[in-house]
Amino acid sequence: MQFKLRLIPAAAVTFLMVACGGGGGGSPAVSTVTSGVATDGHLNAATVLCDVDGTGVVGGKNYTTTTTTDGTGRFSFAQGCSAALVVTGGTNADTNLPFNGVLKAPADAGSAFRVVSPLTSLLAAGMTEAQIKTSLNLSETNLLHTDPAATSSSADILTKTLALQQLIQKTAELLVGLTPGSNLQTVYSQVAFAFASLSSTNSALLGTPTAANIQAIEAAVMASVSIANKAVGTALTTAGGVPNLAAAVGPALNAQVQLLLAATPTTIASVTTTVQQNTAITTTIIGAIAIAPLTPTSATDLSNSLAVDAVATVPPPVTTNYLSLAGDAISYDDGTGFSTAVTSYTMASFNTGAGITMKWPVADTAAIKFTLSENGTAVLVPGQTLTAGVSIVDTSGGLGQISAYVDNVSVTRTSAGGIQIQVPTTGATSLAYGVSGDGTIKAVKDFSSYVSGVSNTLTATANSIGIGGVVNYAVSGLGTNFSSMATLNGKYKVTIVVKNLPLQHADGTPFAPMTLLVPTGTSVKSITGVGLEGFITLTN
Amino acid sequence: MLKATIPLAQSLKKIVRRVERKQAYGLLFALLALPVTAAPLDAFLTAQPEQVAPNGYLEAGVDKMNEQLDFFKIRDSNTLASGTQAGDYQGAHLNGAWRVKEGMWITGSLMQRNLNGLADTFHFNSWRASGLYKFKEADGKIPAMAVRLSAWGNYADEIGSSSRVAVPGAILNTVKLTNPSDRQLQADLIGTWQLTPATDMSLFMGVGNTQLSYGDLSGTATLNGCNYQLSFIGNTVEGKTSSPCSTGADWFSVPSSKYGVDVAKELGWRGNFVQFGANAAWRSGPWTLRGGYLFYAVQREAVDDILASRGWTVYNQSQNLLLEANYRFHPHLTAYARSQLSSTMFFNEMPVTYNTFSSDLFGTRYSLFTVGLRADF
Repeated sequence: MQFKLRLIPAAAVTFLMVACGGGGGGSPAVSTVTSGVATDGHLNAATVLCDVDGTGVVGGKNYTTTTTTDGTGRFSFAQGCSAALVVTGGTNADTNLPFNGVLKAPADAGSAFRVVSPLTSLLAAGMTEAQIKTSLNLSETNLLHTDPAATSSSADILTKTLALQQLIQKTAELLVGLTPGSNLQTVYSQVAFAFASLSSTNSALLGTPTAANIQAIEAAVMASVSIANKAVGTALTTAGGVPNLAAAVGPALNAQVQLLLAATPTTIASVTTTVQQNTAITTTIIGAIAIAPLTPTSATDLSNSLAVDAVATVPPPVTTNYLSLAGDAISYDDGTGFSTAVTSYTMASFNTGAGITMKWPVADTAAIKFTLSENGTAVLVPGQTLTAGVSIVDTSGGLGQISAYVDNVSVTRTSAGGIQIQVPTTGATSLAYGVSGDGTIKAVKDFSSYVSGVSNTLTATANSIGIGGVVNYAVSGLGTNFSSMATLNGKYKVTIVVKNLPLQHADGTPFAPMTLLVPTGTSVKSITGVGLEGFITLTN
Repeated sequence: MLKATIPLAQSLKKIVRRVERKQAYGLLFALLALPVTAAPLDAFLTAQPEQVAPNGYLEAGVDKMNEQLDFFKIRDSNTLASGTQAGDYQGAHLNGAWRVKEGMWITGSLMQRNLNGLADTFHFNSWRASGLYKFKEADGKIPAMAVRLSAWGNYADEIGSSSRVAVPGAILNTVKLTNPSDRQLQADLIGTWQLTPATDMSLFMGVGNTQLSYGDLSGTATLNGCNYQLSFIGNTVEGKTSSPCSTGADWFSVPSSKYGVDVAKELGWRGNFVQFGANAAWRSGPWTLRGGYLFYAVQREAVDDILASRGWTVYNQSQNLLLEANYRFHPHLTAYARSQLSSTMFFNEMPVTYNTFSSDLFGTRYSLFTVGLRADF
């Protein structure tokens, strides 16, 4: 009888345990405390779900089984949890960047300490530990219980974990960006599953920076699209197709991966911050396909610039050694020679009201005038080249637009301390793109030959850069297809982006990072750098 | 004097425009000049194919037209073709028919056609598949009646012109069109009277629809002093300079409507057609003589309206006359010779050749001669 009486509470406890945690994933919760760590690096204030019903979301039987991580990524389930774990939200304790993805770990009975990381996400997606080790070239064992960010773990597993997270995160961000309204966490899970599915048969995902490595990443991107929601596939069909997308972003993703893999324990946090904050891949691709569907040619062109932009520090580092326009001011000389020909503007006035007023068409002698200021000694490395782009977009409801860029412009310091900016006679491209006011006619004019060899030395005294001639040359070339080019008037928004020049406001505050896309007819030129926006008003 | 001068100037302008167009359409002239024993050969339709062969036949023949064969100088109605190779045609065809069971036949044909334009030679392939069902046997004055369903078409890998082609608003130096094709679905009702044991006569009528398609249209042109490679993408024309040029854009994209052209509708039109006709056959010993007449009318969507809006000629009717002599020199082998005359360039058989650039030339009469062998079983 005593035996029987003792059995009753035992049966009741068993019943309650099953009711609270059993079923679904077939992995009932256990009554011993389960602790663990969520790491992407370590995630602070992330939500950890004991996914007892296998849905991956809070609700149903999961409503009482969430907990929150502390500042070191640690969490615990007082009642224990042997079901799958799902981690969302929180902040990376090393980078202070929000975690927007989803980490998972498969069901694990009998473990008092559990790890949730990008590597365990692969396990949850069906990869075996052996497959993961082969795919990522890892030597560690017991990935299910190894915290990659622990000080006791190797640098290798941490960098590869972060590289994998970077691949999944940026691919998911891109796909969501292509299909507004998509849920990032849902797509993140789909991308992780795609990477796992592909990586189980492909060992080159995080290998050395070879072509095969890039191809593996591109294949993973393509697999992600096929697994993600239908809207992604539809969007990409009209945007030039999945292979072109993969070709455009593959080298950029690989560049980010390689940067992470090369990081040391002391630099890994800053490198992770750099690549995580960098949104060039998504913004550039979305901007490019808004102009024209990707083609093999444009994908290749974009991939070249993206591979550079994707590892740039965004926003650019603020330095005390920089160049600026004295007083943040410029003057516009309309070239007419009248006493009213020169008008001064500050950046503030450029960005408000009518902005800079320009008589249109401009005179060949029209020029921008300013005084260069240097705070400290701006760093100009030997062989430094800059790229500058400008876009002028109709603000009155029309679709008229002119954009232009010049690249590979050499920047050197003269012996007298000035900054010489010179367009080389070979290797530089200067190109203008125009759209008619009704948006139906588009044209491109290469004006490289016109500016070839042009050189300006900027000093602390007044500088003048002639713009009238080149504007008229480019517009004339475009204008053969634009009957109304000479009669443009009204207010236009101007965006100027300069890449590879230590340029800041006069008071040292940085310019905003911007990406400018200039269609070239067969492709799109992407320029990511410091940017300035304002207005011009054309008067006839 | 002023009054006299203006009409003269207008007339000259018209003539110049006309000649320019004619020259420009060299490409399409050839297409028009196509002809032939066409897919259908519908002027010989009969509800009793067994009069030709009891169970089936296979025939092979060659089709030809050149200056020497143009006995009636029909091609001289086109001044551009006269004395040139333009309009020369040579082709080969393979036709087959098989009686599946009593009153039910399936037929098919394949053709290759090579024809010369003013400066280029074009290669087309044609195909046809059809099934004929005789649902009523002849009974006194009631004819044997059959219904025939067909699918047929023409296609080429690429056609083009290395000579100048005018489009509204521009002159193209060269033109290339990939994968031009037409596809037809057609239904015919046929009645055949056995007038005497050696003579029969048939009346027929049919309806069908046509759909044209093409792959890519590209070309070259000189605009603003610059040489451009042009691509017609949907209703957009993209141009890219062949070499650096200081006087114009290096690349441009404009709606084809800027040139007054709606490429998709003008080259990829669809339409419905109706046809009717009559034929008779007379047999004597080893000889069989056949003659047939076909009237064809088509209503095309958009393309003809565009032509009319430009004041250009629309051709939507055609009359064809076929004459054929057969000589059976072996119990199962027959040699035949055929002549096909058409009032309008046979566009009923090669719809792919008709578009706004070529329609002008469909007013030209044409003839074709065919010889071949038929094996029956």
